[in-house]
This record gives sequence, C-alpha cells and structure tokens, in this order.
Amino acid sequence: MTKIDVTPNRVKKTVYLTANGLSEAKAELEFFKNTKRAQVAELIHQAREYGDLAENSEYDAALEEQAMIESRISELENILKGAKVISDKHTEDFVVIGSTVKIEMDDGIDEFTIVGRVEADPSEKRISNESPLGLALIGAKKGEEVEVATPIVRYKCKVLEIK
Amino acid sequence: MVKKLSGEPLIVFNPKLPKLSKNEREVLRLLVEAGKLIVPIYKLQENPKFPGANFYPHDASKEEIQKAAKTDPGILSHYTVVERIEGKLVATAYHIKYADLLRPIAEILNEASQICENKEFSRFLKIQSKALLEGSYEEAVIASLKKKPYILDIFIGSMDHDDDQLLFTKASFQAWVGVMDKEGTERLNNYKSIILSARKIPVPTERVDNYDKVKAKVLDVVVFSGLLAKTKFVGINLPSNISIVEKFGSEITLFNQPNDLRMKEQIMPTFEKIFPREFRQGFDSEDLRRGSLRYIAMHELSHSYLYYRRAEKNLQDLFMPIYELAATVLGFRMAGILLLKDRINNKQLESMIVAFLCRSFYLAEQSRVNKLMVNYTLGGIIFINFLLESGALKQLKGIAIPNFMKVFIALHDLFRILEHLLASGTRQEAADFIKKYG
Repeated sequence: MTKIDVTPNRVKKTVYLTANGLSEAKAELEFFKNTKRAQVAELIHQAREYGDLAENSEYDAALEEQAMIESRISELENILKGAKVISDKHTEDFVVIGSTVKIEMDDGIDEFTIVGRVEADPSEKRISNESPLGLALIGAKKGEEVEVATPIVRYKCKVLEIK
Repeated sequence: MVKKLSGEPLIVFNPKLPKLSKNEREVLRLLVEAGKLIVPIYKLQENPKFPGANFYPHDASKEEIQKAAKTDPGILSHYTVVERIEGKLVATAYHIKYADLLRPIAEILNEASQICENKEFSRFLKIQSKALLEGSYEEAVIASLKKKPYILDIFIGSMDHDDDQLLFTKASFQAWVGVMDKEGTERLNNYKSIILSARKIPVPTERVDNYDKVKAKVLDVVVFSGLLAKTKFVGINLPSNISIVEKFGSEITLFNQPNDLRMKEQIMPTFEKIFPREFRQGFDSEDLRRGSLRYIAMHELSHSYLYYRRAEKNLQDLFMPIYELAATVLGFRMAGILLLKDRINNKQLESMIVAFLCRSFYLAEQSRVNKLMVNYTLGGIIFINFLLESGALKQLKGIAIPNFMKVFIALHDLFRILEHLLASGTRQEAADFIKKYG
C-alpha cells in the first residue's frame, strides 16, 4: 500500500546573510553545540541530585533551557543549510539584497539596508527582503516610484538613492 | 486584582512585580503612601455638578473670569483656585491653598529621598517634594525628563485639565506609582527607533522638532489616584508645555494594568456589542489587549510630530479634541510603516483599529452620563463619522463592519485635514469641521 505523505509541501526559502552574519551564525552554532549543550547537561545532572523531580524547579528550568538550546541549534542549522552570502560589492543601478536605500514615503525620508530575514532589525535600519517594503524595492532604480501594498495598507515610495 | 474604593478617586492595582531589593521595596512603600494622599486634595477640586468644578466660584461666568484675568493673569494659571472675595475674583496658588494637605505628602517624599540608594532618583524625589510645597511643578517635570531610567517611578502633582470643562485650564491633582516593565519598555523603544527616525524631513518653522529627545517607558502600575483614577489613562505624554518640550524633550509613559482594566470595562463589552459574530471570530481578547496598548503607544509617539507652536492659541477650546485625534490618526499611519517593515502584521494593525473603534463607541455611549472625557469622546465621534461617510465603516442596526483597506485611505484624508487645522487652521475652521463630523 502506498503511504500518503500528509505533511505540507514546504517551500525552502533561501536565507540571505551578509558575510558577517554568516560568520556570526556559525560562531553561535558552534558555541551552542560545544559549550552550551555541555553546560545545560551539567545543570540537569546537578538538579537531579536535589531529588524529587516532581517538585524540583531547578530541574524544570534546566529542561526548559535544554529545549530552547536544541531548538536554536536546529534553527541555526537550517539557516546555514540554505544560506546564501550577500556580496559586499553590488550594483548601484538598482536595489538588490545588500543595498542601502534612501527613500521618500509618507512625507518622510528614510534610509536602511535590505538584508535577509535572519539579520533584519528595523530599529537598526535593517529591513528584510521578504517584508512588504523590501519586496517592493528589490529591482527598483534610482528615481523610480514603487507601490508598497499589503491587504490593508498601500503607500507610494520613491527611491532617492542606492548605495 | 484591582481594588477600587467605591466613590474614591483611588485605584490600587496588584501587579506581578519583578524582584526588588529591600531598599527599593521600602522606597516603593513610601511612594504608594504619598500617592494615596493625593485623594483628599483632588476631592476638594472635583465637582461634576459644575463645569468649572471647584476651580472657580460656581456663580462666576466664563466671561466674568476671562475679564478678570485681563488684570490678574494668575486667574487663568493652571495652578490656581479662583474664589470670590468681597465680590472680586481672586486667584490663590495650589501650594498655598492646599498647603496643609500637601505638607505630609512632601514629608513622605523627602523620607523616600533620604533612604533611596539610587542617587539620581533620590535627587528627583527631593525636587518633587519641594515642587509640592512651592508650586514649582514644571521644575519637577524637567527633573523627571533629565533623570535616567530607574526601576521605580512616580508622578505626583497637577497635570491634566479634564475636570475644568469651563475654560479647560485648571490642572487637577493626580498621582501614579509604578515599577518599570523592562520588556515592555524595550518593545516601546524599539517602535520609537523605527518611527521617529523614519521621518527625517525639514521641520517647518511652525512646528517644534524634539525627535531626538523623546523618552519612553512602560510601567506596571501600583497606584492611580486623583484625576487619573477617574480618567484611567493608559498612556501619557509629558510635558504639555511646548517650550519645555523644545528645550528638554518629552517622555511617554504607558500603563499595563490600566490597559487591562480598560479591556475589561470598555473594549471587550463594546466589542461583543457592536461587531457581528463572524467578524468577532477573527480577534481574541489578547489580540485586542495588545492592539489597545499598541495604538496608544503609537498615539503617544505621534504627538512628537504634532507640536505646532500656534495651534493651541489658534484653535482655543477646540485644540484638545483636534490634537488628540490627530495623534491617533497619525499613529495608525505610522503603524502602517511598522507593517511594511515587518515589525507588526496585518492582524496586529487591524486589532489596533478595532480597539480604538471600541473605545470610541464606548465613549460616545457614555457621553450622556459622563462629561469628563469630552475631548476624547468628540475625537472618537469624528473618527466614526468620517469612516462612515467615506464608506470605510458600515453600520446597520447597531452593528458595525469596517473595511480596513478603506479605513487606511480615509485615515490619510482625515490626517491631512487635522494637520492643516493644527498647523494654520482657525477656530472657525475647526468649529466647521467639528459641526460636520462631531
């Protein structure tokens, strides 16, 4: 009998990272695998020695931390598996991942760099290439006006400068 | 658990607090004690039977007060009580009029200042104590703006004007005491960084630019007393004096527990009442709780773009409703920017709009019995009517259905009108606008 795969088809998305972001992700993975794993194993071992696991809050906290570490390791491994490094040198003719863009939108002038979602942090002026703004700007030329839209919001955005 | 003493302008919250040191706990206990002592002073000021509360003689007309103020400007000061003495209107400063009640509060603040191990907060408490005795309230606000963030927080003094429905001038006594919510504060500051740095445009001369001097914090509240126990504000932006804002910046404070209280008393019951079941299924109470806090955060951040120098003078008594509504509408526009940058999602933005609609419908219904929130009620009614006229909101037999895409287009148009009124509008223009939508 043929087994039916009920898991949804997951589209594997490329994760874009800067060279710096890639080395940071590698270092973090190494730290979690080689240092943190051992530290939390020791914590669990110590907590077990306190006895009565049902009422042992140190044991629960250590288990929780272990789950968090394993989840982060798995996340980092997935990121690194599909990672594509953004070149430091890129065109200034149109917006690509890695471009720093100056735009005019909603009566304001804003400047930010387009990065992959892993490194995105709008408060640090790094916008994801998968955000509505990032998606609309990729490929736009200097002076071009693009429309940024979501199901409820629609803005016009003019590219003033690409660096 | 929230403890509201029946009829008393005092709410004692019982938030889950972070671990405090022994010294911090002792200082907090004194601050709570001081905050509670605002109640008897506020009770001398409030009087819902008269539009001027107890700030003016009950038989004095608006015209008589304004005429008397031409020879004695102290009559229209934020911090005086006006009385009729031998037929003449006379102004007495709060710190003199209420000296007996203010002294014990100042003493407790001094005691807290003496034991507080954080030098900067200790100094601030000392200035705060002196402000109550000498009426130097603005000095205390400036000291508050200058101090670094600290785990404990207090405001104690005169600020909002909501009780003065006659001339919208007199500040009522109130206090909050709270403990910093570090995670919430970090989130709010993250929004601040995105929003206040994205609008670097040449600031017109009629507007004050203070974007680099905006502080923001979120508190777990222990006590609300005085006017705050009645208005139950979830967010506050201090100071209102534009020259202090220009020189020393401003500070946004959001309150967690009052937001929870608003959810329970206003937002959820209204949500159940005005929206159809299919629509309600798209939002749970947590969505709306966060939506409420978020729209208030954006409202307070937006004030930083709305410090128009002449607006208060030009629009006079109509300034407040226009100013407050403009901040909410611009707040939604700026939340749109957060959405485009993937900082919030569509659902979160919709929850903000739904929470504000609920608050507006609630205030509109309450306006028949409660005149305290008149400026916010008027703003909410204008918002609802503007959306109805533009087709962004459909209302049928008491049931409301918003079209969020149309809401956003309407918000753009509404903000243009409000911004014009604040920048260069006249009182007559504001009155015509309010007559049309209010």
